[in-house]
Amino acid sequence: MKTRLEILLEKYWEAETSLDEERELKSLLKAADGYPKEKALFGILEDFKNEVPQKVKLPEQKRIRTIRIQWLGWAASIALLASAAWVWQDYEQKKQEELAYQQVMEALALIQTNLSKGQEQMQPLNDLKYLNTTNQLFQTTSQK
Amino acid sequence: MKSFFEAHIWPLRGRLYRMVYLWTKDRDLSEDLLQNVFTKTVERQTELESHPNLGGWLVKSLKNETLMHYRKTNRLTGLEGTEELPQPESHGLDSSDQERHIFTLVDLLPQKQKEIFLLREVEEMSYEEIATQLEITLEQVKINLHRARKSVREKLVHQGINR
Repeated sequence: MKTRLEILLEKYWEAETSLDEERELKSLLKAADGYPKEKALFGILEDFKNEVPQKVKLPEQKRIRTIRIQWLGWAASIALLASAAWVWQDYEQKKQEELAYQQVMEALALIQTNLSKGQEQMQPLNDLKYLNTTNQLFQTTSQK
Repeated sequence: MKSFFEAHIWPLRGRLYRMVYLWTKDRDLSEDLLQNVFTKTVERQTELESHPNLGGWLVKSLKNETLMHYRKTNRLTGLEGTEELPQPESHGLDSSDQERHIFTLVDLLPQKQKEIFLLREVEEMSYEEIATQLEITLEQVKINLHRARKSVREKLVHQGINR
């Protein structure tokens, strides 16, 4: 009767094991007695997995570039907001100025109407100067 | 927020490094080559963000980078020749033995089998993942892995290896 380990090993050499079975095989092998050659093999492979780069660094360039792009985005949106605010403010100011101008004009118009009304009412007074002119015209009064 | 590079490429550095290391057998050189490829990756980031097979692209770029290096130094014309490269000099007491074993183990294998063996045994990738990464068919992965394991087994039985 073959043990689970032997079955798995055989399957392994035939390249018929799944990844899970290979993991199982490795752990079974670690716990088992004997099998020095197989243990050596998987030991070497495990050791090699611990080989990691020591000096390789994250490339810097890209980080700078992303920051730049980010800043560009920020700058663009700020500029957009600022100009929008400026345009809006400008528009508001112009509107207020126009309103003020209209109010002033209305007031002036009121003054003018009232002034002309007053002037009209002054007309009879103006006619007063003709009061004495009949005599002058026809010289009806004796000239002494 | 993590950048595209940090999220998708940086986690692969160990796997990529081990692959170049297996080709070059030189730690420092492997790191330099990987760093070069990372720099290029960053330069072409926008294009790569929509790449359907990023892992495959990275492996291919690394391979090209390595070949370019060897072409410049006139040592090899293809990665098939890496078996002839000398085994790494011992850097320290404990690391040297450890790294020699893996090369003794896989050096007899042809390049393709070596890569597939590495991706399966060390990186524990599925057949599908290996096929995508190396841009070969599923069938080829299975056949090559079977052959690689067969050769390794023979080596194990006849010569034996030591850890």
